[in-house]
Amino acid sequence: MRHAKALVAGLIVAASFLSGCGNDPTAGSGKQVLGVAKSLFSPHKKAPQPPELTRAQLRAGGVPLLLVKLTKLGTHGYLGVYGTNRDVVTWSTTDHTTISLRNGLITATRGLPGDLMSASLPTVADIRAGSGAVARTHYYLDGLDQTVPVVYRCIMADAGPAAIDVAQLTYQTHHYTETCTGQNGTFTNEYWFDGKNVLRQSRQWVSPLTGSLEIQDLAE
Amino acid sequence: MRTIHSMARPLGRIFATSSLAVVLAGSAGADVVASQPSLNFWGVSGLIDMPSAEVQTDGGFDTTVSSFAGITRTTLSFQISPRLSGSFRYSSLRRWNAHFPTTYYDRSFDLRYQIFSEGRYLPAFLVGVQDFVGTDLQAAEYLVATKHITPGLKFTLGLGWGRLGSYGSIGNTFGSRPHQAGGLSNTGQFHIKQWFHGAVAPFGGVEWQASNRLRFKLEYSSDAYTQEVKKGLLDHRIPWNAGVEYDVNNSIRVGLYELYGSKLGFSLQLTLDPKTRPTGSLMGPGPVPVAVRPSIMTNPDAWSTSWTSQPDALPILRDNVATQLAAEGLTLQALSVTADTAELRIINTTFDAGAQAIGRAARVLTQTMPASVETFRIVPVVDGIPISTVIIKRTDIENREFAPNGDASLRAYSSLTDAGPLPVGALRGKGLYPHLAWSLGPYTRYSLFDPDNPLRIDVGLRLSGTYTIAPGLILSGSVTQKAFGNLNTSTRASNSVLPHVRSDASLYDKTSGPQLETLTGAWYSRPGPNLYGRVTVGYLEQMYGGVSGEVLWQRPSSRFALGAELDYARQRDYNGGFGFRSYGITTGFVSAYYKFNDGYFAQIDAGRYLAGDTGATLTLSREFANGWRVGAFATKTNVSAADFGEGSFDKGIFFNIPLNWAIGSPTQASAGTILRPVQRDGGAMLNVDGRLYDVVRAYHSGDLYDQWGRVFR
Repeated sequence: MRHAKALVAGLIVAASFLSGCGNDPTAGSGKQVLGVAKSLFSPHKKAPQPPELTRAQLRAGGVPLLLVKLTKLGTHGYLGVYGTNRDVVTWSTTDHTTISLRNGLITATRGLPGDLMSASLPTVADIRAGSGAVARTHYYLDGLDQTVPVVYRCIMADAGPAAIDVAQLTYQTHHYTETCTGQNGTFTNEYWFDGKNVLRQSRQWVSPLTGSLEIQDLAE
Repeated sequence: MRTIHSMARPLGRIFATSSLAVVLAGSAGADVVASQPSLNFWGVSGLIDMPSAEVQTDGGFDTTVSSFAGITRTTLSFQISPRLSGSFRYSSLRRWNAHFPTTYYDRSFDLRYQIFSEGRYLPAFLVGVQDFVGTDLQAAEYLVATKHITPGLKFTLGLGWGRLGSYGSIGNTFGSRPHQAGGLSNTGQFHIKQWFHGAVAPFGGVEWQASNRLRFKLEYSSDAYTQEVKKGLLDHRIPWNAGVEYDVNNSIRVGLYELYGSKLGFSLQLTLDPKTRPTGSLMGPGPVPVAVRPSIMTNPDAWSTSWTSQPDALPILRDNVATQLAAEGLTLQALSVTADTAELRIINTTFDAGAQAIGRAARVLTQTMPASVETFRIVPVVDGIPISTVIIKRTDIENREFAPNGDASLRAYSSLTDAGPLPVGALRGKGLYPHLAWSLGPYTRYSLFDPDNPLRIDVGLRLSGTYTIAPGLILSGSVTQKAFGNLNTSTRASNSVLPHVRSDASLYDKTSGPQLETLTGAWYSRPGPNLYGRVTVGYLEQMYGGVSGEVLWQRPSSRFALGAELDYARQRDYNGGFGFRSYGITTGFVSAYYKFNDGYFAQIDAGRYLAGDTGATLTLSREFANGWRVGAFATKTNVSAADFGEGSFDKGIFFNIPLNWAIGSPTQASAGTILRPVQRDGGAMLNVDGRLYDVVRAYHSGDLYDQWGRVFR
């Protein structure tokens, strides 16, 4: 027991030694390295997930929120409004992972693996037409920090009416799909517009590393 | 002046380096398996002991460790261009001879050039020279062809000279192969007279990709291992070798082989592609959004300039900007504002890409500046001096924040010019001058390639501090205390006939007490337009103290720079204290730098070196936009090859790997080293911190625009 304690103490001393100390931000990458090493040795350990908020809690909060799920990474988060540039609203988690939506469509992300840097998107009218083909271009940064366009051809479809649950409320919506094919393969985005023409729920693809985001608009 | 490779012996950041290995090992989960040609026992594309005509992916950086029969080779290979590759190899041969009773060590350089790439019917065709500046022992030349029959099956056939013509010779070309006058004193000479001379022998083999990860190889070797058999390292029973290789992931490969009918061998191959981030992408928190001004039509009051007459406007704006910049990882150095223009000077210690810092600073200005301020002049400050000015119109960043490929159009609408003196009335950031920054952390110091012990390491604690008195006026120092290590066990006395300006380096590692590593005062200045200046005084490096002055001329938008340096260096006492020895010398250089469009970089330094010799250094490197650099340098001075000693002239390779590339999150740290086959006294330079080219480069057009895609990151 005593040995175990000494060992733990030794490890802590060693860790602080490795990570260094001081107030010089340019010195010692030890802390970052330790962080990376830790995440590599326990890759499946996720950051603690926020509990799902109830409708009552959302009403008490009184601010518009998005619930965003990253199915591929198995995480979710609540995002609040961070900024607005004309028809694009940027939503952010508390640690500044941001998603920028143009009329509800993802036009940029920051802080996700393989961020969508910018995009040329179909319009909401294109999607709600429920048929036809539209081009979509995603811009990414490659490993050399060069902006690379990826062009998709997207087929729109009307999937009919659907009832969905969003934080304990049921919405009657109309469900549309957009199936896109490009160099990186194929993905399908899905959109559920409610009776007030609000994009209440969607599943939209970001990048090969992040996969798709499931977004629910929690505002009433 | 030269920077990366100017150290006598590299002070390693071993923790950063080992983290790279950890990160790479961590990419094991990746679905993609290496499609790169595998590497042979000499660390070049090939079969088992024989080379092939294949090339690695352009820019590929490979490390191979192979071992059999007591022969271990560690090779770094770099695909310099799509067709040209270079290798540096360190070989050890156990139980060599009476002069080297334990182990014989040898260093060698190779160059390979692919003449034709593989076509539909024609094979790839390549010419290679192995150990072209070394001893006779490893030297070989070859012509080789490789052709795929199916995607998984390929054949290689070649002709070898030298080592590779030593078994199964079918004749001689250009008469017999001239013998080199042996011995270490003759290393470093180019043996062009030997190339493709003498006995020539065929070699070849077949490689079968059995599955995504598994590969089988069979080859016929034309290497008789004459010397090695004589020394009893192995029996050469048959010329056939066979092996199996397994791709652990897309960067690590292992292989097991049977060689020459008598020995088992293994190899470990680590393949890095500088163009691909192991973690897949950049990480780190997103930037603050651009705040868009209200329309002047609907809200003209917001555009009023009455704030300019408000006496506390500037302090308020300064504090707002400073607070928001800090949240973005940046520091406000100074701010000046007029009714329509803001000049913001920033210090970036967070992002390796200058464009990312510029973009975040511009976003903060949109959040904080009154609507009438339309022009943003962002001036990055390094070591207290303003480096350049990026001018961005506020309207452009508002319009392009979410424009498709908005970074490209923002670049087209922004401009880059020199930075002038601080505008009158500018307000400095709080708490910057004076300011003390310090850190306490581990250090490692190592020496490579001593035949008595090719790798010696010291590990200990380093306390370093920087006291900034005023902009550009910086006192800094560092003290180390060794904890453990074996650098002090070196007993190799210098046999140099030149002043022992570097060959006594090991004497500086004998002390076990604290060592004053550096203690300097530095003054950075802008003596004129496009001119940068530095004067450093004090204990400049472990071996020298003195005075170093430097001037650099470069226009921010130019790929060309010109520099001059003049130093007086005095050799320090071995004990790491304040004392000096009697040797002192004035050195100086004129330097020219050019960054080519396609990522190649050249530097020439001409002048007088530490031993009083005069000559020039040529440095050539490949620089990737993400900060990876791999290069080589060579120095020729008026010291004769005989006086220089082993190696004949000073040369080496270097590489620098940004930690950001490896882990994705924001950091300016990098890991790298300089590898010299041998450190002698000719062509040696002083090692001073803060040489100007590296101070300014991040915010001049080359590096800034190479990474401009990160302006909106």
